[in-house]
Amino acid sequence: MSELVQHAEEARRLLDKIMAEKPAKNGHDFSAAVRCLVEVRNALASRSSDSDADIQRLGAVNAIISSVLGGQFPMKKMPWPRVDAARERLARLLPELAAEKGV
Amino acid sequence: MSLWELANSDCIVVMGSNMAENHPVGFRFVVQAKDRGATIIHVDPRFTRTSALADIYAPIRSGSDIAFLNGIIRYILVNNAWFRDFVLPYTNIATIIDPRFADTSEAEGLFSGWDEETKSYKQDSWQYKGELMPSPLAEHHVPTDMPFVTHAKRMSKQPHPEDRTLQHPNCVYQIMLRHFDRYTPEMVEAATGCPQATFLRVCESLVRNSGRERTGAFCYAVGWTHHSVGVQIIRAASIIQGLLGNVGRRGAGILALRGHCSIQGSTDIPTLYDMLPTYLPQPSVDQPHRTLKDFLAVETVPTGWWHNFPKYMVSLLRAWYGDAATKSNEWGYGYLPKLTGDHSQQTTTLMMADGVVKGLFVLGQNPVVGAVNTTVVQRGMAKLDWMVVRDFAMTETAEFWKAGTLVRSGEMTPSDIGTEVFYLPSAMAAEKDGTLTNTNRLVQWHDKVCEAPGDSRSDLWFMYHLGRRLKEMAAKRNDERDAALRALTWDYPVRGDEAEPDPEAVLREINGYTWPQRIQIGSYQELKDDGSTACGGWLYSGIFPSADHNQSRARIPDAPDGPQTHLGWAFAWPSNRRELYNRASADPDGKPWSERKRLVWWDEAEGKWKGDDVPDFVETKRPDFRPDWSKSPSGMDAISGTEPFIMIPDGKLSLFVPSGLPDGPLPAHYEPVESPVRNPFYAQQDNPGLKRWPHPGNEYHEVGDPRFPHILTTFRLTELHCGGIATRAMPHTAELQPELFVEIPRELAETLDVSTRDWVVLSTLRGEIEARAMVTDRLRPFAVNGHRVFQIGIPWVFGWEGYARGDSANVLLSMSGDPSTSMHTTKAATCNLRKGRTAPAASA
Repeated sequence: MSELVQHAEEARRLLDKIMAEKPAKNGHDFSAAVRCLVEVRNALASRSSDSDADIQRLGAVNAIISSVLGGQFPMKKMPWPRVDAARERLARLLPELAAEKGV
Repeated sequence: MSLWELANSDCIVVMGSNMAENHPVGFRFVVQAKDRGATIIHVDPRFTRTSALADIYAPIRSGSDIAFLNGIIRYILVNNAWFRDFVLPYTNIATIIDPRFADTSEAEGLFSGWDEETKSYKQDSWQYKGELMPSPLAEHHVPTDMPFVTHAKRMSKQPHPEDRTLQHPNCVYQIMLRHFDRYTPEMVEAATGCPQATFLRVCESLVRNSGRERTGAFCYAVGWTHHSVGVQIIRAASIIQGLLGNVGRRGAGILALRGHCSIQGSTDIPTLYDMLPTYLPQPSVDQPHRTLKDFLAVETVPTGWWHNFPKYMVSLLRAWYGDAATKSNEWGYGYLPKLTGDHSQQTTTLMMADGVVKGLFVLGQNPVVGAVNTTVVQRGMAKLDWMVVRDFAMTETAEFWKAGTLVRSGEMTPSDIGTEVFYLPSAMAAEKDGTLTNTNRLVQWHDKVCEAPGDSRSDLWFMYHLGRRLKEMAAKRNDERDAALRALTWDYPVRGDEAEPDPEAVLREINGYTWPQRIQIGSYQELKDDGSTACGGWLYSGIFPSADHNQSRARIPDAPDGPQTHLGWAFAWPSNRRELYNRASADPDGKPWSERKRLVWWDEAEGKWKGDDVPDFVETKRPDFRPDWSKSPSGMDAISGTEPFIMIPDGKLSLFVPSGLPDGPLPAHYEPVESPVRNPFYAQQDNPGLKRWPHPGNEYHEVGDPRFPHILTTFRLTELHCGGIATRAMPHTAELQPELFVEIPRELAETLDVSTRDWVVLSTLRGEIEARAMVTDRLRPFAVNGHRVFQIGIPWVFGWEGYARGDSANVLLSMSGDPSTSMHTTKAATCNLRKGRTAPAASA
């Protein structure tokens, strides 16, 4: 399994844990999940490919990061549904990343 | 209120500020008031020069301000000392609140509506009975289960429920009696450490100097705002001033002492992430803001002046996007980024530390000295790809990679840090044209008087040319994500060899003009929501009312025997008005409360409001005007002639705030993020809405942690301006405060065998620093809730650059946020203190 997928898997595990443990908010888990997602983002962004698939995946990971950050640093109330949606989006993205050659 | 109005006060309370030393120019008006017989009160943990000039000095423990202020409110209520003729018609004291409302006194420190899962309040039970009261502020989404649009419209249907006999158990008056009941003088002393007798002298002085003939004022600075309850501290003061009739009148009000570095201006035309210019809300993904139609539907307040919001919003979009803003694309609304969370300075720093953020511009800031937890700040900077620092002298921020905390502690070496730092010299104020907005909303133009040396450029030059180049890149790429950049109007004329943009062109755009003719408008009353006007900041409309008239340049003061409102001097927003809500300076019939305090009044012969200031009311609205509820009035038609607070949807001063505050409709005392004692008032220890951000390197101290027994507060120095570098880099100011010191109470110093000029080490879980000891009687031990606690004070303005050097005190502080503003806490933390020095590698 590539490092990119490992980071994505770890991010999903942490988001599963965060959602299972709510309403207690663990900033360290959020921080760790974000760091994993940033690794995924950076790996995707560093590719030379300009394919639509890569651009879409990068957009999806960026959107997931934004939503998770919204949970780590909420404006007012905790946006649990949005964090959960980010977790589900990541879960859908994982098989795609794992199946791709060279990742 | 205007700074100079302080001279007309009969009682001035300076609290959360060392005004004499940190706002010495404005303090002359306090001295003038004293010379005229006013009572001056200073409430502060440290005895300073402000205290020395005061009639009453009231010492309080850092972080106990609400206990003190709530005690004053209780005193006013139980002694029936409130200004009844003012309060009954002008405030919501008689308004009836939803029967489900429960006070902190019933739920151990929590109001009704607390939701543990979302860590926030649902505010249904705080509402006026049968209505939903929108908040007038930006970012004012009211978290309720009630559909906003439907219920808010009820504000237009009927008079708001009230009982002017004040007997209804859920009228605001009765709720306040219950809420403030526990803030007795005995409890005030137990919580704050202030002797009861001193506290009562403060109460008596305030009450004695309020009413028809006399007025009082509060002055505060970051000693109030830099707390986990900063907004609620100011709320408590506003309740006091509301009850005493000290709003909108001569010599009355609450004066926020800001203005350094145009802080007021940077809020008006904001560098804040959560609002658009002049206090318009920023769209959010968590609200129904997908389209402009949706956005306006939920953000437009049905009653009061803010009902004009669509005109201001559409005119702003027109100013930004010009011809690219069309009716069919909702005036470019889709170009605006939507909020996804808290993107304030502290959270952005933590995002940098996690690698989310790749680049950073630092302009007019020195966060390695001025931000809290500066070690984490530097860890974040070390993760960046690039950082641009613009300043006129080398700052610690620009040099963090070479001599910062991480490098000196051995945690990193310069070769470990990949951040590419660009240091660009910037022009100082006298080296460029522009404006500065001071604390009383006074926008004053300043002219360039000399050339900036070398390659120094103005910030305007930098931002203009950066934007121009980004637009050129966006035009070549043609990516969809760059559409907003391409649409942006960026056509400011430039002049001279350096292609300096014309700042008056920027100010003309902020003022507003017709579109597409670009004819200046005279005031915000001329703005429209049909795309025919453009305006960069509605509150500033009138500052440039014609092509050649820059009102911020005006310099005509009143003569000594004049009205002393100085309407010919510069421009104060809005409408060149000096005192907000000045309709309240007259009684319900429109007559001045007294000749001595006369400011604005109704002229029956002329059929309009007039006075020494620009009236803050519909000019021709009669005092006896009443809304016709049969016609479902909206906007100002729903505000009667006796309701001065026109930005509030019901026109009344909010003693009780039903919407908009995330941590409660009334102020309650909560302990700071870190405290040596339990909350003496409630089981709830700290602010339930407090933003905690646990993160590696940002650990918090537990309550009463014996390792960190002392209270720590930070302060500034007259001689070292703001973050210090401007004055630390100058030998003649640096020599006045040559090195870091820490003020230590004598009794604590004796316990630790510390003498003045000894080295001592202060430590927290975030880090440790060393400083020279200054043993002093200015700080005294406090007896708090049965505990004896010591308070330590340290200036935060030092760093390793310049001539006056020392460790940065903000290394010691944690990151956390007030729930309303995300403001950090610098005024009340806990720490340890020992004699000695830090390890050689860890100090400057």
